[in-house]
Amino acid sequence: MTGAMNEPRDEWADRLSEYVDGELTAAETALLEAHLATCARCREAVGELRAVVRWLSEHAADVGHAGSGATAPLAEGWTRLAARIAADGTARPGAPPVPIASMTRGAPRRSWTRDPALRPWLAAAAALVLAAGSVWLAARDHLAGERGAGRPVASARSSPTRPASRPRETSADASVAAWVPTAQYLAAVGDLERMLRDGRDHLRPETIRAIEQSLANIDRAIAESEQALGADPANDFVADYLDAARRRKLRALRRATAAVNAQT
Amino acid sequence: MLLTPAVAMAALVTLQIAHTDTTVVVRAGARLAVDLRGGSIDVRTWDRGAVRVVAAHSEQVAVHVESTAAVLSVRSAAARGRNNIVDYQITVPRAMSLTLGGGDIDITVAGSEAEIAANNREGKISVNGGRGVVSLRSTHGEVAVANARARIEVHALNGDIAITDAIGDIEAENADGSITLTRVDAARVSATTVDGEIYYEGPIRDGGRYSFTTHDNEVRLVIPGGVNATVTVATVTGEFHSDFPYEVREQRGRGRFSFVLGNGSALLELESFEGDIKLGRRDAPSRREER
Repeated sequence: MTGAMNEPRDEWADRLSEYVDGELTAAETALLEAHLATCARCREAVGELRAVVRWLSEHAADVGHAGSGATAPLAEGWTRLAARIAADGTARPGAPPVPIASMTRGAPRRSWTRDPALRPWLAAAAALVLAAGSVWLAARDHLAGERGAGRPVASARSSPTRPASRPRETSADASVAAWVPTAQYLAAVGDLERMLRDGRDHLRPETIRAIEQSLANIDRAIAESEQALGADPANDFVADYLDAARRRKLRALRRATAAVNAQT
Repeated sequence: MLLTPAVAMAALVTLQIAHTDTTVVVRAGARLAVDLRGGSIDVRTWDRGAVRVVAAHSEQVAVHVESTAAVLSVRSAAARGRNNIVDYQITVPRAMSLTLGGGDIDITVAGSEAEIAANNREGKISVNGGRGVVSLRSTHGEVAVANARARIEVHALNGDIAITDAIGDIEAENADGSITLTRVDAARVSATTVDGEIYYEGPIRDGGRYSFTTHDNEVRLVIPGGVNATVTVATVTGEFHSDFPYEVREQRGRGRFSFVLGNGSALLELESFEGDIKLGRRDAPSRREER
């Protein structure tokens, strides 16, 4: 929503991780910081990326000590990793960031995500990386989006009721009624739900009830949308609505797991 | 149960309430950052270039106020095994930016003329004022904003959102709770909830973009006459009612159509999966007493 308000430069969304890593020139840094002064989403994205770096740098020694397999992704640079995760997630518009499990790609075979000693900080790291990827993705969408960049076939669906320039979460493939949940999406949802289950003892019963109620509402919306789309596969409103509901579930789960991590 | 004075005194002694009261001079442009696990943060403003921190807490909790050129940081630490709960009353310069966050806390801000970012897990967030960007996030609790002159971003999971007498663009998202936007003036509004009503009362600016989506409740707008907007309506099982006469420009199945008011320069999107959608005119006699 804020894209046209601030008239942001598109290229900055791709360079936030370089900025956080201190890899921009002084001139580029100055330009980006001028953009950050007027763009809340990019500021938020930078904040989340810095949180990932800070948290992981604080725990780097633990990682190296407790699980040798974890040092490989650490060496790769967490902000770029988070950015790459988000980039992978945008390979198909509509796909969410991948879960923590995918972060081990290229690392030694040992599954450090399953090491019991690492679970507490992995859970927090997963939440942070997923959040950072999400925010980064949102910023990228927001920077690229309103003029249609990165949404190659959005116009194919344009109509008076669905203007091509609409800043909403749309399925990009005109031949598909709705974005089909990828394995990455399902894994991300599964990871977050597991983190929420594991951390529920840290929440007050009222908070747990509220979270469960909210998630149940979203699940109901998803189920009803799927049912409606089954009955009317050409209904682009329902298709878009279903996409948005699935994304909303991810955001809600992130919010809920952030609440858990605030207490642990 | 009534407490006798003796019992009340004994209770106070047992609680061992302590107070912190400190005032710190701050530079113009410095930001206040308060981090809190439980309790409350009540921020008020004054015209002095200083921050006063008054805190009520147990004797097992220590309050730390640390100042750099850019940030005044307020945080607390509890002895092992003790609850880290503090009730803060903080007075800040009117133009001091605020970052307030934590766990189960009520957050209140009054009279601010600066950026505000607040975040809690449980508890009410109430902001009166704000400039630039007001960004509020809550897992479980009401969020209320009044008299902001700012872009307002509210993300809640469970709890009603109310924004009143505000000037500035709005983005509000909720999963379980209503979104009520009353006397707001914005060129861009996005309001989305799942289980909750959406109400909007304000102008529709030429060239503006307004999007309202709920799953199973009403979307209700009260807008002035003379609007220039392309209106898109989408619902699966709800009905559409309008005080504005309109002629459908394109019908795309049941419950999906668009029409144009005036020159159509603004984009107005109204969606409810299974609730009704009502487009009311502010001066329409039939709607005047409705709310």
